[in-house]
Amino acid sequence: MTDPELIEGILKCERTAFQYLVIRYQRGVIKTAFHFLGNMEDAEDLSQEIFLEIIRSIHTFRNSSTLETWIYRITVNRSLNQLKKNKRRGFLIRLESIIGFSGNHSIPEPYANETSLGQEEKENKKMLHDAINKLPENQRIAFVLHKFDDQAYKQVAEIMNLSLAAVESLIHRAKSNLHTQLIAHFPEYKKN
Amino acid sequence: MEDSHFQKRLDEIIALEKAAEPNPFQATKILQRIESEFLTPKTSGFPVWTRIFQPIAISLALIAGVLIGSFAARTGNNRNDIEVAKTKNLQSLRTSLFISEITDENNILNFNK
Repeated sequence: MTDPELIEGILKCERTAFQYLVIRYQRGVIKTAFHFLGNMEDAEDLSQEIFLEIIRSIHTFRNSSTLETWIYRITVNRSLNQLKKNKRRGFLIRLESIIGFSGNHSIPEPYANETSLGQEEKENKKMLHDAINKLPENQRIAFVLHKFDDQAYKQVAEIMNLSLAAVESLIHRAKSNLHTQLIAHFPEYKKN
Repeated sequence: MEDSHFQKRLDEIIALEKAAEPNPFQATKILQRIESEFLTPKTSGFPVWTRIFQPIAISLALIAGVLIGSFAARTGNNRNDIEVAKTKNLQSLRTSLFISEITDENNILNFNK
């Protein structure tokens, strides 16, 4: 099924088009959301909302980019919004616990439910996730898409609507910032 | 040298992160959600105009009920007036026929027992 056929099918609310859309893009969407959120359950829940948004707003898709790029854009935006919501919720929960109204609700720690990982691996991943979240938004998006989702510079540039040079510069600065942040946790790599 | 070691370590952590795979049944969950949103006919019965006119209709019914009630009450009062008029007529009839007292049939029956 080509992109135009898929779009036409979605516009007509055809079951096969929905199935094709989900099967083709769900893994990429969930993994990208996971790389931003650091929690697979959150990413899976968010993926449902992302697909609903894709279907609802497919009529706004213009052929200025590929469908895949457009889907990635939606995924990145929704993931960043979710991250902001989580931060706000986390702040409120901390505030409640300070005041003394703390209930049973909590924001899951990134990688807390990955039982297959050892303690050190979990800590390393959390450290990297925290460091990435401290990067400026543009650097974070470029770095995650390129390093985690294996998107080429050109694709990252299309998703972010930036020039190739700008993306290269963002990724370079992101690496440098991450190096500065993470080197503190790995003293063995510190230059004397 | 340290930088390349550090980069290698960083790449190892990234590789770990990339190895995480989503739930294999997630596609089914997403499709179910899509079907419930876009393919299942909505059963929310009442169209918009019904939702607007329903409270109006109920209010009108209540007002009508109050009006009917007050009308019925007034008619009931009239019936009492008729009863009074009937009694007055009987009194005048009794006077004109020189009947001293109208016999209470119930009392007679009790008396006979």
